[in-house]
This record gives sequence, C-alpha cells and structure tokens, in this order.
Amino acid sequence: MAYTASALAVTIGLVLAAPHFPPWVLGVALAVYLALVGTLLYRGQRRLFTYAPWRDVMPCLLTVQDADLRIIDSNDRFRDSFGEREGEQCYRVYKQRESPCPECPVIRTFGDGQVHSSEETVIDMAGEVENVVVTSAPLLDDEGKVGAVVEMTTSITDLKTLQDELEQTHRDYKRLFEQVPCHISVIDRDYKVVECNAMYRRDFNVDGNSFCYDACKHRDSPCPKCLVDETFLDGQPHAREETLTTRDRRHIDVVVNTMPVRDANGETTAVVEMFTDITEVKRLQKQLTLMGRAVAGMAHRIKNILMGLEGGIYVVNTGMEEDDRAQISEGWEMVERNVKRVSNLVKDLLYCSKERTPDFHNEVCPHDIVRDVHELYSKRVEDEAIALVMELSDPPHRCTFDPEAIHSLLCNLVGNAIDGCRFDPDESKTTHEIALRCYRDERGSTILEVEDDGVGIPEDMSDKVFEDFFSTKGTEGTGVGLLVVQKVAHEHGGSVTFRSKPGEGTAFKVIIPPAS
Amino acid sequence: MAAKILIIDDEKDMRVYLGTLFRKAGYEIESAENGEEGFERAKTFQPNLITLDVMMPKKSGLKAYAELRTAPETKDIPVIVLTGLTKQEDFFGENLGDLPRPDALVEKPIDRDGFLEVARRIMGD
Repeated sequence: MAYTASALAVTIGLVLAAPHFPPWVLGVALAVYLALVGTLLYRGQRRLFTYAPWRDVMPCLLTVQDADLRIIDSNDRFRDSFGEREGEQCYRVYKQRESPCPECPVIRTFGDGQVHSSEETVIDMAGEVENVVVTSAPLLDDEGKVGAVVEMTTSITDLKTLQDELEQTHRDYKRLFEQVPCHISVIDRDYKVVECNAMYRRDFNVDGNSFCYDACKHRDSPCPKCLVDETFLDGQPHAREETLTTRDRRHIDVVVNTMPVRDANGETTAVVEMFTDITEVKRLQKQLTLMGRAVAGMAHRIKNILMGLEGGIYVVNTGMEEDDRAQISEGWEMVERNVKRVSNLVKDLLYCSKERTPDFHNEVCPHDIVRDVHELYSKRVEDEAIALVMELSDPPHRCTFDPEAIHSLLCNLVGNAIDGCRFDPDESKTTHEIALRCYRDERGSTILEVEDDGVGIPEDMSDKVFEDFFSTKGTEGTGVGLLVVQKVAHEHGGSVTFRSKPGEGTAFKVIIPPAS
Repeated sequence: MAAKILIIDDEKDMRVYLGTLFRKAGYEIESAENGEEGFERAKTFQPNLITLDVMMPKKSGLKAYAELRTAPETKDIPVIVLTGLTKQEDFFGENLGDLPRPDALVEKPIDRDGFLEVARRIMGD
C-alpha cells in the first residue's frame, strides 16, 4: 500500500516536473526511481518468502501481522476457521474486541524481538470458543529490525478438557483417599509413611518421617512377616488380619490389604496399605461364640437339674411304694433343692438380660444385705470345713442400692467361693475360710469383698471369667454368676476386679461409688 | 447273696438317686462322697461294681480311677464312669497312661433303665 502510494506520488511529480527539466535528467530520475522500487519490492518479497514454504503445512493457525496488528498474511487452516481476514486487526478477528488484548504476545515481540506465548480463548466463525496457545515470532528485515510478526495459534481445547478432567479426577481421588472410612497409607521401601489419609492421621501417630511399624504397632523395628515387604518382593497384593495399636493405645483388629504402586517400567516403587477395622465384627464374633458356649453350658446345667428333679421324684415314688416316710422326705428334699437351683438360674439369667431395670432404693444399709447372705450360706456349709467370716466396718452406712440385685451379686460371689473351696484338690488344706467384707473407702464408695483360700482360678482362664459361661463343677454357683456380678456392679455405676492365684485362692472386689 | 455296688459321687442327689435305683433293683449299696473316701471304701467293701463321678472335690474322679485301677485290692472291680462331658475323648484326653479304660462311660443325666441295664451286663446278671 505504502509502496503504491509512493510510486503514484513520484510518477505524478515526474509528469508535473517534466516540462521544466531536460529529458536526460528525467531519464536518470526514472532510472533511480525504478531501481529503488525494484530493491524495495525484492526485499519485501524476500521477507515474505522466508516463511512461505512452510506456511500451509504448519499444524496450526498462522497469521503474519504488522505493527498495527493487522493481518497481512495467513495460512489455509486460519482461513478455514476464520475466513479471508487480511487487513483486519487480529483482536477483532480472534476475540471481537475493539482494542488489543492485554499481554498480547505479538506486541511484546514487536517490542523486544523475542518469541512469546500465552494461553488465550478465541471465538471462531462458527461461534465455538476454543482454548489456544499463541506463539509469536519476529520476521526481521535486512536491517535486523522486526518488520512483521508471525503468530501461530494452536488449539488446546481437547488438551484443556482432558487436563480439567484429570484435575477433577485427581481432586475426586484425593477426596476419596481422605474421606474413605478406612486407614490408607503409602509406604516406601524404608517403611516410611509417605502419604496417609485423614483417618490414618486421626488414629496413628504420624509426621513426615514416621515408620509404619512405629505408627501402627509402636515397635522399634519392622514387623516379622511384613506384608509391605511381601508386596515389594513379588509385586502382588496381599491380605491378612492384624492387631494394631492406636495413638491412644487402643488395640484394633484390622484386615490389612497391600497393593503395589508401579512406575512406568512396572517396578514397584511404593506400597499402598489399607486397614479395614473389624474390631466390632470380631467382638460380635466372639460374643456369638460365647453365646454358643453359654447355651451349651446352660443346657448342661439344666440337664443336671432335671436329673436331680427326676431322681427326687423317683425317690419319692419309691418311698411311697414302700411306705417309707424317711425316703419320701429325702426325695422331696431333692425336688425342693433342684427347684431352688432352677429358680436361681432363671433369676440370674434375668439379671443378665437387658430388659431388666434396676429397682433402686434410698437409704439401704449394705451391712444388712451382707448379714443376710452370710446367714444363708453359713447354714449351707455348717457340715463342711469351710468357715464363712464377716468383716463389717463400723459404723454402718447407707446408700442407694437395688437391694435384691446386690443380694444376688453377693450370693453369686459367695457361692463361687464355696465351690472354689470344695473343689480345692490340695489335701494339705484341712479347712477353708471365706471372708465377706463390706466397708467404705476414702471416696465414699462402698466396697464389697469376697475372698477365699480355695482352688483359685487357672491362669489361662483368668481373662475369661467375666465373659465366658464360666463354670467349673459346682452346685452353689449358677454358672452365669459372674456375668450377674458384673452387670449388677455396672448398673450401680461400679466395677468388679479380682485377683487370684491357682492353689491359693481368689478375691473379688466390687466398688460401688456413691450415687450421684 | 445280693451283688454289691459302690457309688462314688460328691452330689448328694446323685448318691440318693442311684442308691434308691440299685437298692430297688436288689443290690446292696454303699456310697462315698469323694475319691479318697471311695477308694478306702472299695478296699473294704469289695463291691461287684463301682460307679464313679469324674469331677469331684478332694481327689478328682480321674485320680480316684487311677488309684482304683492300680491297687491290687481294687484293680479287678469293674468301674462305670459317670461324666457330664459329652465326649469320651474329653475324659480320656487327660492322660490315663497305660491304665485300662473304664468298663463303661455314661453321660449325665442318666437314662434310668439304660443305666441299670449297663450295670447288670457288666456284673453278668
């Protein structure tokens, strides 16, 4: 355009000046003009031709812009998307703007002669919004100045969509990792916890340098038969049940699952370790087992009582047949005794059941209950070498108790103590003593103690006494007695502990705090 | 002369029941309430049959069984072991060593007629 205008001006000048100059001057002037125009055209063409061979094969939209950001050339791809737009400013074409875009890479290239790029959003002829990466490169003239700028625009819409989806997936995965209701960690070859989720951080002590064996088991060295090791070794998932220790020293039963994390070459670089808490499942499982055993134990006890009843009836009938009053009386005592055993068993079972609500009374003197139980059981052991002694603190105190329940609790403890003395295999003990104590401690709690010097509880059974249908042979206890003891103590806000040594005896201690 | 039976059981109900059962069936009865007493009684009474409860105070039934089976005065007397345990292995599981097994193992609660039948068979009645 500039060239056309200047050529026209020179031609008009020459025509107007022609009458005033000799022909040779005009000839020289024309020659100079043509040489100048020729040189300029040659330079311009050469500049354009530097990108012309690859313009249409470039896998992007390509435009050449002048310093006013006008499009002076473009490739086929550009024209397919935006049409013939030469002479228009790029910002109008690409963005339908009235002014150059902020951070325009073309302007920056005109300013410093360097390559620049930026991410932009453009609107094509069909009105589709595209995400693009724009790269601008200078086209230098013979003097090394930026004569024009090539702008290459590559669509990254698909890439951008994929990237967004990837980011969303990553966020979802992160959220899932964090919020999933199990413990997840990533362990490296040095057993370091390199990543873990919220639940893991909540339950185990972890900082940036924690070892899994320390965090989960409070150990100083890796665990034997470590599943993480196995997965590192064979690259396979593994699973096993384990018991872990939390930061507050709770023991939890878990199923541990390990899975390999592989790099691009398939090498295991880390192991994902997942714990599923099955403590509750285990507890229920145990309870079911105990219940099964309890039912079996109960059936056995009931069978024995039934046999006692059957025997009693048989003896009564025989006595009647033989008109033997002494025998009738003996048989009847058997019936009564076994009816009493059934009655005690049923009462204990009711205490164990959840339906029962305690019947609390105010101003109950525990000494009275202890005296009743002492009197009851003293009669039962009067023919045996078992002394039942009572130790009561002075003065007696009063508290809020369910008197019948406390009576049951004491009967069970004393009954068990008597059985423990009767079944003592130690022949060197010619007599036994059972102490029945009641006093108040410094906190105002009522303490009930039953201590015997009988057979003691075998060590392997001492952790089961409150949960199992604990029963050696014996006729005084009902077999569910310690469950009753524990339930009654809990109903009163109290607790039961015991100490026992096989062969030396057992002492049960019930602590009942003052009613709040 | 009536055959003699010794009942060794710590539970009075059981002693009275079995005693009545055997007496009514025509046998002469003695009873003992623990293993130690039972062993002594067996030596003097020389019964034709002993019924022995396996779980008892003082000496367990197992220990009494071992003594009865070892002492020359009692080793040939047939023994019926009464047990609350359902499996025979639970009784024999505890080390009986080379001792011969009981002549019969009867689970409590007993079936009256069946028990009497077993006793008669062992005594050859």
